[in-house]
Amino acid sequence: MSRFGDWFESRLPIGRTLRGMLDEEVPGGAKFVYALGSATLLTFLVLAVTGVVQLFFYAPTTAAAYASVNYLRFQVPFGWLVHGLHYWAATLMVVLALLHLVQVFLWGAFKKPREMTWILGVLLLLGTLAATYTGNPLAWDEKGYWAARVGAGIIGSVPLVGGWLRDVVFGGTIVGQLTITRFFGLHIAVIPLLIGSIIALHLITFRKEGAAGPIRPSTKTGAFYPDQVLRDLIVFAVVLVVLVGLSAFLLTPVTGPADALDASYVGRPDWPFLFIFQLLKYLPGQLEVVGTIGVPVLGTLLLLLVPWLDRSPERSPAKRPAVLAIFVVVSGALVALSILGAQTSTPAAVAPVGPPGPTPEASIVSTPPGPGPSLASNQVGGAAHGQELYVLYCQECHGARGVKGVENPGSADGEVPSLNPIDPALAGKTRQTFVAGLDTFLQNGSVPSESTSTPNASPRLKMPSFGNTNALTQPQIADLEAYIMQLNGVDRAAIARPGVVPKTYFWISLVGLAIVVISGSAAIVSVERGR
Amino acid sequence: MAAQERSDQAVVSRRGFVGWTLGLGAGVVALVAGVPQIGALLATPRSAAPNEFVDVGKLADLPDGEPVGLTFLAESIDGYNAEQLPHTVWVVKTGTGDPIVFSPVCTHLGCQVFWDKGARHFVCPCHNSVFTKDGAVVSGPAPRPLDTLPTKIKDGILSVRWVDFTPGTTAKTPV
Repeated sequence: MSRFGDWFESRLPIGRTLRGMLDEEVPGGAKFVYALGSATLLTFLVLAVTGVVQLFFYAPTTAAAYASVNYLRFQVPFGWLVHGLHYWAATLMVVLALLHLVQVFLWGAFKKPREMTWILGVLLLLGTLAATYTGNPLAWDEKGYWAARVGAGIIGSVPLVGGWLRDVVFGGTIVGQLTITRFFGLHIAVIPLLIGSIIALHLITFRKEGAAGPIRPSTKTGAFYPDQVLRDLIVFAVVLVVLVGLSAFLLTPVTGPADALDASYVGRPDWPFLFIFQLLKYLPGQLEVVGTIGVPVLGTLLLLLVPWLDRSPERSPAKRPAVLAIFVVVSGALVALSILGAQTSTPAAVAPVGPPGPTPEASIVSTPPGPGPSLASNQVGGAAHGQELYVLYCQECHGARGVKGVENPGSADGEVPSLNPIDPALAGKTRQTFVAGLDTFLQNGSVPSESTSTPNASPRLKMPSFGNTNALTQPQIADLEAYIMQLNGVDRAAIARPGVVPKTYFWISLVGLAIVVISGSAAIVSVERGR
Repeated sequence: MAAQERSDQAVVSRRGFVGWTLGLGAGVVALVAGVPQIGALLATPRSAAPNEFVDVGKLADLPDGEPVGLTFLAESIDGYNAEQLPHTVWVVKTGTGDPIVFSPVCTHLGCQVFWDKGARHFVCPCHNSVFTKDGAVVSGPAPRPLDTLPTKIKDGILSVRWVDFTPGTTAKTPV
């Protein structure tokens, strides 16, 4: 080592510490399946980094949160990737943590003396789920908002302390500004610090006893460095390829701005909580708390007590038939409930029999259009939800998918204008002029020009004012605008400044990470040969 | 000899005394520093003043026997934001009696119910609770009928006062 290196090492012994961490035996030899825990840790690191970058753009207010997230996604170079990686790493972290838990459970690796590692692992899973739950509402889109609304209802229904608990967690009786601020604090500070600390403890208890190793004792042994580290590196490269690929090919969904009045949006929880959502449908009102609080609390307690419920030193799953049976039944039930929950159809969309909201004629609030662009035209709407609203509010006159409007006697055109394709003058040249053109009609309504062939005719159908009458909310109008633009081949949520085009970036990263996999494999082979 | 014994005992108790002092001191320091933080977080947020009655529509305009959704603006206090926010209520007028005004908030977990014209039921899109035109539970997990809101009628104008109720409980209690 150089003189400077020696001087440095003697005062800050990084090298020695690192060697101490890497110098460990892997009983039974290194294996790719042992990388599940490290891969979960990798997703946490990806979340930490992308989370910090997002802090430079995000504004935790009801007025600005949605727009600030969309600014990052569509206007900031590589913003789509920062947001996408955070979104998909969050999903993958839950998946990998669950797989890691199943692996340790089936292989009996939680047994004495590794009970504490198991307990800390279960706490990490809970922390990950808490982070998932608190992260969603921060985007202040329909999905996140309704997840918070239903969550507040669930907590509020707890006997005795429910109301107080809801006020503490959600910052009051309504889900609003104080909810965002609280969830923000929990999501970016409290929960990550807890997860980080528990990860440290999890690793300390893991290293104290070492890996559990194969079920059948083996004389074979490997070294954590380089054997396992090389395999971890290859797994990391694969995980990163998956994350970049998901971010590039499955852009994070746009569900539309949060809308407290929207009865046509089906609030559906994030996938880890779908089983509770489905379970609630089978429980009568009085047993509500059993599903929302009872099942999760009891499940968690049982999970924490696993090392004491399965105490025999036997580790082979084949020789623990009762444990295996319980595992199959419980995981089967969870998967089945989740799948059923995911397939929930929207009652409003299946049976389009009338607008779910107030009818425009009956609404008495009438405010003149405000100056400048409306709230709706400044928000990136969700086309999928816009389609549901279109069926409820627009289809009756403009026809299915806007292809052909119904007849309108007395009007100059003789029929309601088609929206697909739309009048080129309305579509304009840019996305913003397209939105503005649509927005005028949706906000103010319009009366078609009269037919010139029949004197004194007045058009039978008029375009109602949806915005100024509050017949539709501004978020709903934003969603409708996104859908009508989509019908005309224009993406409201198009990425304006990608940095590098998503798919191109994926191919570039694939090449880079393939090199890592190939050279890593070569290194593994050379290490094996050297023995 | 007696003095020696006393000093042995004193050594043990001195150690204990130091330990207790440190523990107690650290505890007091933590309490003094921590109580305000926890107090701020656990305090019940500022409660909103009860809303005023707001005119929502002319009685004569309401269809007979058909629920209609009316939107009006009511003041909503959300922490430090006080805003006029739109609220929707479902009004059911039957015959000559006073109309019944339902809050659209589902009594299950607080999603928004809508009137399904075809099935002639109120439906909640979240967990499929179904209510009759009179607000009674038909099916689904809702623990109580739809909540009615206080109303006033003056000179043929219907006024409504917006109230939030706790969802998920059998009793109808304002939040």
